[in-house]
Parts: sequence; C-alpha cells; structure tokens
Amino acid sequence: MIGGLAARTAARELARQRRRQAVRRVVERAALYALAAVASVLCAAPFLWSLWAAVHEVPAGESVRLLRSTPFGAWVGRTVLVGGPVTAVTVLLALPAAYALRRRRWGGTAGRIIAVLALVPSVLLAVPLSWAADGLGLGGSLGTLVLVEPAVTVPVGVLLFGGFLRAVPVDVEEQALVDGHSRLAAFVRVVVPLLRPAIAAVAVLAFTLAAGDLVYARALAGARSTVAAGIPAHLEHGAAPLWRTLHLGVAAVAVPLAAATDLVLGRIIAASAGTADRT
Amino acid sequence: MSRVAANTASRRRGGLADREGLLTWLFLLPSVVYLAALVLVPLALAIALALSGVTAAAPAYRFTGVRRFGSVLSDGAFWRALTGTLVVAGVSTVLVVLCGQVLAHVLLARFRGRWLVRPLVLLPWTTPAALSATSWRWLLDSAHSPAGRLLRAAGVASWHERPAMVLGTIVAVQVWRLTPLAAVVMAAGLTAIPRDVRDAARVDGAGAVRRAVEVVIPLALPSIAVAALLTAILTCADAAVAAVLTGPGGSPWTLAALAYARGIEGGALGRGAAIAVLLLPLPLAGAAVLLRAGRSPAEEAA
Repeated sequence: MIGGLAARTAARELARQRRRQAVRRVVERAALYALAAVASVLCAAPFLWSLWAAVHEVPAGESVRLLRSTPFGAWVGRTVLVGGPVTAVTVLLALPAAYALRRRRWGGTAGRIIAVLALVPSVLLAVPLSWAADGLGLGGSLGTLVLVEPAVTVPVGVLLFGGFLRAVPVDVEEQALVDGHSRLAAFVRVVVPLLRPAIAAVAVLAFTLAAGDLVYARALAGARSTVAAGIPAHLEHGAAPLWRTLHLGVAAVAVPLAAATDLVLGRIIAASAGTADRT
Repeated sequence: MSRVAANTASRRRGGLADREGLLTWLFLLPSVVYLAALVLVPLALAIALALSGVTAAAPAYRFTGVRRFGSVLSDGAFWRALTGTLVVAGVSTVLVVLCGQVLAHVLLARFRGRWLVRPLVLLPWTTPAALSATSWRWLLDSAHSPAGRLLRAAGVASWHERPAMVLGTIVAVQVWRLTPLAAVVMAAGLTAIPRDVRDAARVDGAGAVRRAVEVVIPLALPSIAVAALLTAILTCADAAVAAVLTGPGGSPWTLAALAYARGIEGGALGRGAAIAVLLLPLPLAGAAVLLRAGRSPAEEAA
C-alpha cells in the first residue's frame, strides 16, 4: 500500500518536472525566435526601407533609368578592379607570414603586433599617403589604391590564418617531410590544400574590407570613385528619386557581400576561437 | 622520432627549400616590408606633415614647427570633436557589448529560418560603412520612413541641429554597424567553452540565467574584453560614419571625421595630419591593452 503511494507520488513528481521542463523549453525557444526576428529586422532596417520605398514610390523602369544615369556601373567595376588584386595580394602575403609565425616561439606576439597595425586610423595614414602619391605622380589612380589597401587587409589575414593554422596538426607536415618533401614543398603541397576553406574565408573578408573603404578611396583614387566613395559623394546634390534609386544600389552591393560572408562565417568563428584560444 | 627522420631528410637534401630559418624569413619578410612601407613610413610622414604648412594647393614641404599643434589646440572644433569621440566610443562600446552578447547566442543557436537570419544579421558588418551611413541618413531625414516619423513624433524635425541628437545618431549607427563583428568575436569565445562545463551546471540545477551569470560570462570574459576594445578602437578610428552622417557641409563631431574633412576633403594636409596625430593616442592605448590582454599565461611565463 505504502509502496504504491510512494510510486504514485514519484510518478506525479516526475510528470510535474517534465511539464516544467517542457514549459521552460517552449519559453526559451520563443525567446530565441523573438530575438532572431528583432535582430534581423533591426540589422536589415535601412535595406528593407530601401526596397519598400523603391517598390512603392518609383516604378521599376524609372529606377533602372535613374540608376543608369549615374556612373553606378563604373563604381561597381572599379570596386571589383580594386578588390580582386587586393584579395590576391592579401592571401599571397598573409598565408606564408602566418605559417612562418606559427613555427616560432615569438610568433604569437609578433602576429598580434602585426594584427594591431590594422587598427591604426586610416585617416592618419591617408593624409601622408595622398601627399606622397601626388608628389610621386601616382595620385588619383586605382593602382595606388590597390597598392595601399593591403596595409589594412594583410594584418587581418595574418591573424585569421594564424587561427586556422592552429587546427592543422604538425604531424601532417612532419609526415610529408619523412616522405621526402622539402619544407617548402610540404607547405605548398600539404598545408595550403588543407587551408583551402581558410583561404576562401580570408578572401571574402579582404574583399569586403577593400570594397568598403572610403578614406583611402577618396584620398588616393580621387575622381575614380569606387562604390563606397561614389554613392555618398553623388548623393550630396541629388533629388529624392535619385536617393531612392541609389539606395537600391546600396542594397545591390550589400546583399552579395553579406551572403558571401555568411558562407564563411562558421569558419571565421572557428578561426577566431583558434586565435582566442591563444589569448 | 619523426623529428629525427625529418632532420636526416633535410640534411640529405640540404637545399634552399629546407633551410628552416631562412624559409621563415622568406615567408615573413614580404609582409613585414610591405606593412613597414605602408604603415610605419606614412606614420612618420604624418608627424612630419603635422609640423608643416603643406596643403593640397601648395604641396612643397615647409617646416613650421609645433605652431600647427598650437593652432589646432586653440580651435573650438578640435575640443568639440575630442569630446564627441570620447562620448561616441564610450557609449558605443557598452551598447555593442550588451547587444553583441545577445546576438552571439542567436548566431550560435540552431533554429528554423537560421539560413535567412544569419545573412540579414551580417548585413551591418559587411556593408561598406559609408554606404550604410548614407542609408541611415536618408532613413532619418525622410519624412515618410518609420524612423523619420518616429523622430518627428518626438518633436525632432531636424536632428542635424542638436548636438545631443547628432552624437546619438552617430552612436546608433556605430552600434548597429559593429554589433555583428563583436557578436562574431564573442561567439568565438562562447564556442571555446567546453560543453561539459555548461552541462554540469545544468545537471547541478542552475537555471538559464544563473548559468549565464555564473558560468558562461566569466569564462567568456577574455573574448568580451577583446570585443569591447575592438569596438572602442574602431569607433575612435572611424571617419566614414561620422563624416557621411554630418555631410560635407556639416561640422564634424569626431576627431577622425574632423581630420578627414580638413585633410582629405578640404586639402589642408598639414592641419589634417596634426588632428590625426592628436587622435592617435586613443586607439594606441586601446591597442596596447589589447596586446597585453592577448598574452597567454604560458607566454607570460616564457
């Protein structure tokens, strides 16, 4: 009799606990979905507004005509012309540097000092660089911009590659050395292929940084504007329909960049965890 | 064992491609030379320019000494911009860490619709700052937009004219722009916390709030510090958001925007360099703390 009562109480207690857990789970999920929804709307706010206004206030044909009346195509073309080579230079310089640093005891400290260089205010460097470029007859050119942008992207690349390299076991290289590869060959044939996902992540990030820069673009490329420099300057003396249209242009630039970053986000978080591991 | 084998292998071959010390420097040198030429040399040139009367119209170097700094320091616009920079950096950092910590959990959580939420949440980070600042300016200025209506309902027709409103707007856009970056940094810190630790706390009966306060946040503190310092440095150094929000005609409210307006848009190279040099200690101090915070106990012992 007593045993049955105890069993029933236990069963009731268990059911109550389960119910409470279920309720807590529902509350947690609901909070998560609410937060995700609020965050999405806030983060996308200017773009959602651009799209809404464009759809409701300007006919589609009119938007296209207005966009073609601006040098939007040339801005995008120049952005790609700058971003492409900068991305290539970033990977070519940062990957070997990060690899060399990993093998040294002082590598961690040196890597962080290099990373900090990315944080020097660009306006401080842009003023003397534009002066020097003009003095050397290199002012107002995209080539100068391509030359200078890696000063920002290479430090970021070294930091991220460092994080990725921590995930590559040393044994893999040692095995390649045992197999008769030279150090250089072990790097090129074994380490680099393993780092392909990392190269994709750094490339996306470097392109985004180079495409997004305003200060160097204004200081060094002058009238040959990229998207980030062209749109703000062009809008200063634009009427409302032009504003609406160019904001569609902003969305057209922003969405592909965000989508590309999303593809590599998991790796960036993992690599940052690698660098944070060291901190 | 394998090390011995590797050594014999390298001794046998002994080529250029096997000299490890040489290879380290070959790999490292291009980056070091590049960065020295494009960061350290301009840094020195900036100081030289700050001591000169160079303008875009008269680019020949004329040494004028420290007089330039005197005239910058006696300018009201400088002190206003310095105050603005400190306010914007301080307030933005606190808000970015709070919002970023929430967003970090959203980024890491698994839920339906994540494929759509994640790229949307990344938009502020990946969009060129100058472009998003342009969009925000339009959003706030337009009488028809939700934000513009909200401002008008609050009785603020032209936010450009009120200092508090301008600073508030710059803070809002900086927080919007940097929260995803801080969230990614802090998400990395959160993933580094072993699952067992959280599970153990859960088994011990700690609720979600208690787990967050007593277990997760203390363990994630290093990444929170890194995110906070990054935000502070980036807001101090950023010229694009503040310059675009106030426009070329407006008066700049941060030091970086002031240096940009004078030195690059205005062509007063010496003056712009002097302002930028005076700005440098703020991000430099942040970077020094970042480097110290980044040193591991093992390296400290070494």
